[in-house]
Amino acid sequence: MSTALADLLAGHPAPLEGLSKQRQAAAELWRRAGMPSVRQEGWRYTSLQRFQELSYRLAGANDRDILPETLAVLHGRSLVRTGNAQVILLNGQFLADHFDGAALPDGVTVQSLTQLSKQEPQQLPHHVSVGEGAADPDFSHLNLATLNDGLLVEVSEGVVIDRPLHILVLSVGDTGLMTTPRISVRLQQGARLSLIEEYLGADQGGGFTNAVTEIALERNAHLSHHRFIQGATAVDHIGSVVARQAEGSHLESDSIVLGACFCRVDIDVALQEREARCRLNGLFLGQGEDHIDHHTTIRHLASETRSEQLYWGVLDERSRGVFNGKVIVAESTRGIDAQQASNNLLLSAAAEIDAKPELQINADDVRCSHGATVGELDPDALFYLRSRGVAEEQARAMLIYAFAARVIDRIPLPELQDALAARLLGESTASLLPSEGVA
Amino acid sequence: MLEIKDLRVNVAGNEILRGVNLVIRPGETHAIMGPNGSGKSTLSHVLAGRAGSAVTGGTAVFNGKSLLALSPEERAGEGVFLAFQYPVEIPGVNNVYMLKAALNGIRAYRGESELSAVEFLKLVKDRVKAVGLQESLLNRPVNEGFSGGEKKRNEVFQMSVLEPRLAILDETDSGLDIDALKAVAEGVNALRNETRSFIVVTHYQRLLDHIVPDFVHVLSAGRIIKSGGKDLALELEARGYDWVIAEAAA
Repeated sequence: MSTALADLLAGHPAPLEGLSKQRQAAAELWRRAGMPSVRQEGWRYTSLQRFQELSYRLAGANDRDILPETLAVLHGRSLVRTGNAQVILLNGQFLADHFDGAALPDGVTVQSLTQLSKQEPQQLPHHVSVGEGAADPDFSHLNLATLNDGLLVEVSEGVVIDRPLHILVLSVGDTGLMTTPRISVRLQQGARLSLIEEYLGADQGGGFTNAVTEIALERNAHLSHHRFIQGATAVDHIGSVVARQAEGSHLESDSIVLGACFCRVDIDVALQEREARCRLNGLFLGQGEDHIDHHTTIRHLASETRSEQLYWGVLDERSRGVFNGKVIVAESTRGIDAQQASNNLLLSAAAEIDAKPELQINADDVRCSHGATVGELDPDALFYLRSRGVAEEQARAMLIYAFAARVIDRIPLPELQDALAARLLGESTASLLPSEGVA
Repeated sequence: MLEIKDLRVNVAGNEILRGVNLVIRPGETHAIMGPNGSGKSTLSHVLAGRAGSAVTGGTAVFNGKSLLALSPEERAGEGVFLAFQYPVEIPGVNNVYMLKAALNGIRAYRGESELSAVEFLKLVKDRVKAVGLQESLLNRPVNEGFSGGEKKRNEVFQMSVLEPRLAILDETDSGLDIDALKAVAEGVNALRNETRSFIVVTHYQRLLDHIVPDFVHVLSAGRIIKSGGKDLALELEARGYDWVIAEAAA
């Protein structure tokens, strides 16, 4: 059955025992708000006209089949080189056949929401919330209302996991397929995890990925979270990252978008207790007609909370980028530190960036800074490199990489740094990059 | 090696070079002197291929090839090197990494294979010592935070690694104290040989005390109005430019 996106609620999502109340609430919220329009502030720069023109259907059990060849191709395109993904969500659904639970370190649990709903339905509402979010129409509501599976990742108290957990989120289907990957991550007190969340789409077909990642960090937990979207596909992407942080917890969250025809990412972090801190890094590369929109909201709800945001955009051809960074400082909080920077490189006259900080500060003891820059490649630097014998294309790549490296260098996984360098510079130039110990 | 004939160049609609003629043979060092605004830097830039100037007439033939038709990187491949008056700071691009890309680019242009990492490293270590550049600067971003002297020394270091056939030194003495000037000049002199040629563009004589030229040319209002040997530079230092200009006008 195909239908307009706004009316998908009439579909028949999986039952997911234990979640019906939340799903009804989400459906109600989505229904009431309706499709976002550019007349709404939060969607001013991002038209959803494209969604009006297509019919959609929900991914179902039939969309859980994938040819081994297709899977191999997608694995080959993954930025993560060390072996295969440990967890695969295909069209929103957990692939149990490709998962080896025994290979996980002790103290980490990974299970599908479907499995959880069968075994402990009363647990589900603890991990999946409706999310009050912004007043805007919120696609996470549509995600929850139409959810057919998802993933829960949990790390037990005090457990520190060194090796990153790699979740590959695949969208493989026809143009009208809406998938609703949902990942809940909970780190108990003092736990530590590094998580790579990588979105890939098949080259053929298309579809719409409506993704939600829900993060709960208990006291002193530390999550290093790397969210990658690789384009070169026709899959539209609207994603939310919603995080709640307890006292002394630490979230590092990267959103890296390497070209995507249409992409919107909403990141909402609530620093709920003292000394919680977050650092958000963003890097997006647009070309062609790409549209890449990041909206962040940081809620400083308690004293001595800190946030830092760096969003770097590189836009070529007719691509368009949006960065809207909202910082909310609650009343009667003290010792708040909130930094935000958006730097952008426009490589063509037709490329465009809309960068907008939004500060709502209701307290006095606040250190808050924001800045946005828009520039182009330095023609003097380009000539300098070329006059030394570096070919123009390579010189441009080197300068673009130099710009992006400010964000890439902050990703604490060398393997991902190398993969990004190779993407930006091409393999041969990337191999020239200084490694430790040169000269 | 290089033959410039009746070269005419406009910058922002103004004719800056109005028919420059110059012949440089292998192994020769030519100084181009002249008052401010005479077109010295434009000449350097147009030979290296910097955008922003329009050639309206004339030719520059370098080892049988029309230099003006080549991209900057192709000129580098042919063996042209420009030492900048103001070396550009490039944050995020490591010095050695740039140099490796440059050397490999030049070698690829000439159909030569890339140097191995070991060979390259040996070359770099060898040259950095010869030029007296601090080794710690090698792995820093290109020229970022370098002092004026370090920047110029870095230019000479790059030159020594890339081994050009023709090196153009654009006001290399500007912003240098006498010790730095001597050190840079020594680096340049060490690179002089019977096949490599130099164009030394300078406003002042003092650089030419240390890099002694075979020929000195006076550029004024876009033309070479007088040429001579190294003594001409001393005369210019003593008497200024006005008498040459007056003589040429007569």
